[in-house]
Amino acid sequence: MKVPLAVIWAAIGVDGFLLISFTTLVVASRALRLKRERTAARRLAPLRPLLLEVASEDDPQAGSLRRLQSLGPDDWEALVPAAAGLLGKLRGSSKQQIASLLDAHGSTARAYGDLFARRATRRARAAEMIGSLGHEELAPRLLRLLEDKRHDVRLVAARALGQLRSADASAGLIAAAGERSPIPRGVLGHALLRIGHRAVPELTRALSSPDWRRRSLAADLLGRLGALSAAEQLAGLASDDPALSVRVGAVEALGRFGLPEWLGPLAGAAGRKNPSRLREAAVEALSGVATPEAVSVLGSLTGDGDIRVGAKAAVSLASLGPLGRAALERVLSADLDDEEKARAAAQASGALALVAAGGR
Amino acid sequence: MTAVLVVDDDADIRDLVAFKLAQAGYEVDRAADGAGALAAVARRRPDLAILDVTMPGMSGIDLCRSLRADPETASVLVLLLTARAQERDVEAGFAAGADDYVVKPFSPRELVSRVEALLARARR
Repeated sequence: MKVPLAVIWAAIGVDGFLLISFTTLVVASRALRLKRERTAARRLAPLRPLLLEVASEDDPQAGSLRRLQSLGPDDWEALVPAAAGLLGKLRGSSKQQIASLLDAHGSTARAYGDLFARRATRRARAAEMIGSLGHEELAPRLLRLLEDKRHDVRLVAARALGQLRSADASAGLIAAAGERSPIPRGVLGHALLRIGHRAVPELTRALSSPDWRRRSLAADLLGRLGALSAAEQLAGLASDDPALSVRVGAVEALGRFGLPEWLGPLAGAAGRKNPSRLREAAVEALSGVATPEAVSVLGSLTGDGDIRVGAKAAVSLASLGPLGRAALERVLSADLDDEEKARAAAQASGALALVAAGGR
Repeated sequence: MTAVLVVDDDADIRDLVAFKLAQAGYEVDRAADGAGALAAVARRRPDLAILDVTMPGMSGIDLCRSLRADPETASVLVLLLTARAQERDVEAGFAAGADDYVVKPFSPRELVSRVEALLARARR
């Protein structure tokens, strides 16, 4: 079928018109944004020194504070990003002064509403500000943002919940660590660590979660938080949990505690029937305990058939000072009448050479 | 006059710390990253450097190592300013040769007190 020439020209004309319209729209919106940014920068320039003066606690007559309190809405809006940015990095009276400015200009109240805004950037900025302000009562609203459709908003919400340091936030953050988690484990872990000891009860409960991801996260964080109250449960998980990463996390936690009463589970985890990853973690943990009994277990592992385990045991002994080095010397001086002793001597020799070279 | 170098990629924090130190009577140089800091040190050797740990490119810890490795700058006092409060991060900072460590969120007033204490200890 032959298309009439007029139709072709009409199609080209329409396409051309659309292309020119689209290009004009893009250029115009960029120019508008640039103009807006320049206007904001112009407004910001004379105001920023006042903000720094307020934040630096060097505003004895409160003159700068009063000037900032009396700003009009446009000037204040230009200053909000800098004020909100400083808020999360300061504490004490600096932070209080900036928070009072945000309150006085209605920015805090607007942030409450913006948690449900249509635009993702507004939701994220609101979450960040509320986290920096530490308004614990808003934890339930931030928890809802952990399931936001936008990944960046979920990340900001998780970090903000960590800043709130609210025990209420910890259950939600742990729950978000389950299967098909929408938030990276590291972000959740960091937020829970910021909550600190107030998160320990929920983390301890999570050790019994049916989801291994939550048990694993909880074991790791309880170790980092030094939550000795969870040690018995962690010792049980180190021996019996069906998920390897939970056992490894529990072993690492016990190693961080460094208490001799948990030598048994750690020595058990280092046993030859266990996977290499668990055994290596157990060797590291035993060096955290560092009693003569732990040294003896490490010494017996230097000749291990798994070379990585043997090397780690020897290097761990070398790092333990005179007690560990004496154990390595004993390994070296033993009769090399079997393969295991020969391997142990080689590992001990390597570790002592490392010490001599100043490597540990 | 005592010279202090402030290195932070966050312009607001960098300027705030510099402002606070200038108010306290110090001569202050600023840099936004490791390369800028090394250039600033070459221009004027500071008595003390305040380094942000997490910066693009060279971290504050790498920068601290670099200062310690150069005989010209090995004795510059180093205070790390960082959001990373984990024990291992603190250990890494001291292992790199830092003299003190302030964790964000911080109080500018307390930061200046720590600077004064470090400088006083060094003078003794």
